[in-house]
Amino acid sequence: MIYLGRNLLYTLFTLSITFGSALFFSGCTEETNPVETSPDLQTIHLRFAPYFGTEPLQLGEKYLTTAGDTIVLTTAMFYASEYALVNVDGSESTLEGITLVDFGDSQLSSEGYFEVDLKGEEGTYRGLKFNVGVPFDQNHRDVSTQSEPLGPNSGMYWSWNPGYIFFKVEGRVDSIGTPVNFLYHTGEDNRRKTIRLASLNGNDITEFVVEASDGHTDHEHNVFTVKVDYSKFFEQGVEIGQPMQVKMKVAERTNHVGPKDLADRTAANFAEMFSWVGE
Amino acid sequence: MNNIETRKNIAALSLSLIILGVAFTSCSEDVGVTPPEEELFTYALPEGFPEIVEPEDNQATEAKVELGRHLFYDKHLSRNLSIACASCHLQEHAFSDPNRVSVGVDDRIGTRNAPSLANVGYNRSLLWEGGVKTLEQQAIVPIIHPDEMDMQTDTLVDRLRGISPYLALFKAAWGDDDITIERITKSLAAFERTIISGETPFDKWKRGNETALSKSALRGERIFFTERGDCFHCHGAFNFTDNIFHNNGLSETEDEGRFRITQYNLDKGKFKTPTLRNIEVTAPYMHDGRLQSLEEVIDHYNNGGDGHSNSDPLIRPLNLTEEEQLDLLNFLKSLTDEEFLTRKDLSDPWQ
Repeated sequence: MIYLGRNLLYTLFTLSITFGSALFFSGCTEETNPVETSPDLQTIHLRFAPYFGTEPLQLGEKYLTTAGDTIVLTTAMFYASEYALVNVDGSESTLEGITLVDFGDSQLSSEGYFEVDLKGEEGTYRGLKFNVGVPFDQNHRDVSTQSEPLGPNSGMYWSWNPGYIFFKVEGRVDSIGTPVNFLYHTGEDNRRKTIRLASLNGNDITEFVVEASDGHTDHEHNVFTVKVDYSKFFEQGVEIGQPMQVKMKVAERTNHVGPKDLADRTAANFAEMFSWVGE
Repeated sequence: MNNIETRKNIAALSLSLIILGVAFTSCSEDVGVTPPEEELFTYALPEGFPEIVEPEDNQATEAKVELGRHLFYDKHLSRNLSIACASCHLQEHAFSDPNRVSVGVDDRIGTRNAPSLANVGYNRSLLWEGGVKTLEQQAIVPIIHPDEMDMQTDTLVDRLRGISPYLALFKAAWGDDDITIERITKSLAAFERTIISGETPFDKWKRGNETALSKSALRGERIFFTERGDCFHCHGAFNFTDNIFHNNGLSETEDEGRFRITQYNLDKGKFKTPTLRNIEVTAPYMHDGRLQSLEEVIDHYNNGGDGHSNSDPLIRPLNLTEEEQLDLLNFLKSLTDEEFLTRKDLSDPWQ
């Protein structure tokens, strides 16, 4: 009995140390952020390059859709988040960061690109992926606890149905007579889309190399360009075979959650816009 | 077990408990500020009212509630200093708005009638279509809405930093005088949970005071709580609301209510059931303030609504006699908590 009692207590003691330490670490690791201090991470310069078909896109300029509409884009913004490098074996190495890409931003490069700096380990990869949208947890957290690029002043927050607009595409059809405005603001968790770039099909492995840059963060190493082709956004409407925004049609708009069919279509089209240009 | 053995065991156990304790406390500090027990706010709950459930990261203290009250009555929260929360939630109207719909900065007109905040701490969702789950998240809605306060949160924080009473108020509530939008919305929410009303003639009657209700009101009570009037199906329980969404047969407008959130066709024209406590002083009625008096409201239900295609099955012509309608009206008037409309702990602290 004595030994049993002592053993039991000893077990309790050991258990509580283990359990206690586990709690200590699991509950508090967020505070220490070892990723930031790791010396082995390289800067990856990701450039989002806006296009309309083969032409570089500029807000305010006229472009012709495949349906024959002349349109002008006035706003083109989206969240990119949950970046990851896809390893050769198909596993993923997560990269920190959430970006509000804004092609109306004054910070665009001289070529009109929106540039994002990510941190990742050097190596050969199959490619890169990210989501268009805001991760579930951050999408529903109390907005007053969040800061840029999220938060109440991001211009992307819907307070009456807490969550973020994942992308905004605004503009007008300018072909005939009075211009007709369109305004697509789309969000909600089920419309978060994963974009996979570079060769991720079959067994074909692209030489996607993140190289050591000896501490340089200049724009000569590890520069990768993603084409964002807004002409694809207008190719497929809710009705099969019908494009978004045809001539003379009433103004189309989505608001975060609806109308459902149109919002679903805009999200599907948006995911078609991305392609890999490479280095 | 001998003494030494026992002492060793106790020592081992104590040590392990301490380790556990350390693990727990060090983590809780990261999660948020937990006020000491003695500072926690004590809610004055009317008899029969359930406990107020607070979010774990925003337990109320006297100081936090006091700060929230100051913010609630402060026009600095709006871009041009014209609107406070209290501008559309007037205490003498049970914290509702006598205007048909809310009027924001620059006389901008909203689309909804600001609802009463009486017992809002019990609501499972906020706003008429119920898209917001917590008072903390609701508090920012009117602040940043262009048709309401039209305020940038950074501007608000900077502005409040220049108003000296706030330094002491934030320090008392949060331990230091740092002003953040998170502390602002949390303090507002804490104050709102204290807006509790449950001292009406009806409550007194329920507690055994047989003369608290008139004979007419008593007859009305029977209409209200039976299938005769069928009011209780939606306006039941201690707070006279089922806290869910119904289409009560109002004619269709552009405002599709709950459908905005769910995009589910059967939710078209559904709105959250409001409390009927203090209903006598919260005119006008309905989500868009379209009905001016309780007589009009009773008429609406007595007629079986306007014939919305998505009307709740309970909405049907009731054929109440004129006397029954008057009895129902008198019962509704017995739900007014007079003391609540002037209670000092809920009134403007800046005056």
